[in-house]
Amino acid sequence: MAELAAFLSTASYITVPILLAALGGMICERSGVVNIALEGIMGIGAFVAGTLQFLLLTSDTPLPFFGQQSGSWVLISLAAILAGMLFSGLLAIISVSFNGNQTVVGIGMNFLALGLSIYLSRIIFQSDRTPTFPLGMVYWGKLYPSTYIGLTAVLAFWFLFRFTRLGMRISSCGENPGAAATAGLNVRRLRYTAVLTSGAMAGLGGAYLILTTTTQYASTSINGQGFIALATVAFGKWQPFGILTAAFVFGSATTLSIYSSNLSWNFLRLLPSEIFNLLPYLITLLSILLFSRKNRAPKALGRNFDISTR
Amino acid sequence: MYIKIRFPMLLTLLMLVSLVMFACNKKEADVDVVPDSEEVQVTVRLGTDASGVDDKSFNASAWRGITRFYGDTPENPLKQGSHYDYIISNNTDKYVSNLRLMSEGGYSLVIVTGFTWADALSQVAPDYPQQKFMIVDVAGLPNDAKNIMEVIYAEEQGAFLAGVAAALQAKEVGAEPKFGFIGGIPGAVITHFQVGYMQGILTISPDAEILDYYANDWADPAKAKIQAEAWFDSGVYAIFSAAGSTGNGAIQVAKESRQRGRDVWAIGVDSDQYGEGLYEEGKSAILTSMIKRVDAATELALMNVRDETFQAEVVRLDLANSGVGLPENNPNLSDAILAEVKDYEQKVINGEIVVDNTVAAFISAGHLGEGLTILARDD
Repeated sequence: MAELAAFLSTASYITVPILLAALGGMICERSGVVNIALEGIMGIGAFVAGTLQFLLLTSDTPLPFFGQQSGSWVLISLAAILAGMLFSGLLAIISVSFNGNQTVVGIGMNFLALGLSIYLSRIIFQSDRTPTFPLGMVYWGKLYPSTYIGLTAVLAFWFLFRFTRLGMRISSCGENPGAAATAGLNVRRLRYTAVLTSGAMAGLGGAYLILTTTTQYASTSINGQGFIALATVAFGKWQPFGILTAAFVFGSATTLSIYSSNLSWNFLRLLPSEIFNLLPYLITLLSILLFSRKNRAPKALGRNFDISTR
Repeated sequence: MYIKIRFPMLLTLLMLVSLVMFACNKKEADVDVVPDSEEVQVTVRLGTDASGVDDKSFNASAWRGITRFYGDTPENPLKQGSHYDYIISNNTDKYVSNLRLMSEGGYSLVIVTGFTWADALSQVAPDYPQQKFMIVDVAGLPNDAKNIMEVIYAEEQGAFLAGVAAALQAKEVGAEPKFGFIGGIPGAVITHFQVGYMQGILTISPDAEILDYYANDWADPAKAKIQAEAWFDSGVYAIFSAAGSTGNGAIQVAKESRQRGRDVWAIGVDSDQYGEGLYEEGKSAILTSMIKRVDAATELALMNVRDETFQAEVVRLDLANSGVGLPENNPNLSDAILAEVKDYEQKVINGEIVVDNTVAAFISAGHLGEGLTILARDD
């Protein structure tokens, strides 16, 4: 029983960064904009978190309201949200205002994020990565605070799309932007809102990834988690609870791949250990294969809004 | 043509302009560095794996030796860029191309750290017979061009002492003798660490349980973190990782756990990692560190190049010549334990205790219990 609790606690903090980024990807896609740049935005959030956590924990001036160690994550969350929104502004400007190809812009942003974070950390720390910070996030009881935030976010997004007018309007931009515009909605403004929100969520996800799983930001820190989040959006059928399930499948598969090496079953230990590294991706692919029957993608996904075609 | 100026366009322009100005600033700063031309210049480039020179252990030690040779410190590398620099290879595909890049730069010496570089170096070195190379952790490369200096360590001897110290500590506090080992990528060198550590533990507590795990990565702390959490939860007392910056994940968990009042430890590797383990004022989660003085090797190679005594030889550093060992200061170990560790150190130096360094030797010496396997590999 204690082992199960430990497993769930670990799986939950592995899940949260993917979950947050995927929720961001969901709102973006439901407004009709594909956000390939989730990976890059996570990287920006992660870089901000790695930098601030090191600077805050090694500085002598105490933080107001919170202690240094237990409170830094609150400040870092806000900073990562801001940085994520700013960076995702690029996607909004180029593909929503100027009708640039969403996929191409997203790919470009992923490379830009990598280069930018290395460049900035060279300037700040004279090194390709941020220095190791003394401590990451501090537990609240048995879980990291990030886990509670992840679950709250799921509820918030569920409420947004289930009960609010704004949620309905964002969805309509992704299904049929022409009709939405005819009904008097400002499609571009709604898409801006969605893209910036997704930036905030992915930035937050990147920050928590750094604070809960690693000890510094390096160019290898994100390592495809943004793309996993992108797959999670589709696997979760563009629904908050579906995405929660999908992200948790990946999170527990990752945890399982490491736990499985603890089992003293000799046949498992004879397998090449690379198999275990493959496991999370394999399980995720298999579950997509098994459980996704119907494609529920927004109808206007990836298509720029052109007022003349409505 | 008429262009309507709009807010997004202005914003984009602003971003571009600020980026260009930022870049220009940087260039001006570079011009200030004037290379001094008083003496004959020894220049060096260091190639590291994905861990980078701030991994606080293996590569950090190599980098420290280089900076010390030039009178700098890693915190203040004044001559970086002009005299010495490093290149990080984020994955093994980059090894050959980065090695060629460094070989074509006209530097006095090219250093690569770690056995994962062996194949790349044996492929590249013959093409540059005039270029001097130094590799740490590898011996016996084809060396027809006589341009590779190889430095190897008796890691098993240092790891043996770390194992002895951990087991004695567990005994002193009455903890269950259960220990963990986390490796980076399996291979002969990491096997030295694992086998030596296990033999050290078993010498003190013959019925100890020792778990092992390989992350297959030098730079993925998340894996070590998850593993260490699971192990500490199941009653493991101390974890030793020889895994580059991957191992920092285990140190992180030890810090978090100690902060929550649990008596568990991490053991540092390659450099004295006591400072990395600080979680509160004056309290560190690092029980002790197995030091491997890579800095001694890089400094030695540079001195040889400067004095023109560079040779394509194999240098072996062990406990007797202080190439490996425990740190000078061990604030977390009691005097009684330190005295006993000292005894064992003497016994290893004068050959009374032979520490195994391969899985085959470890098994034939009867150290591995019935039905148990270890993940270490001899190749």
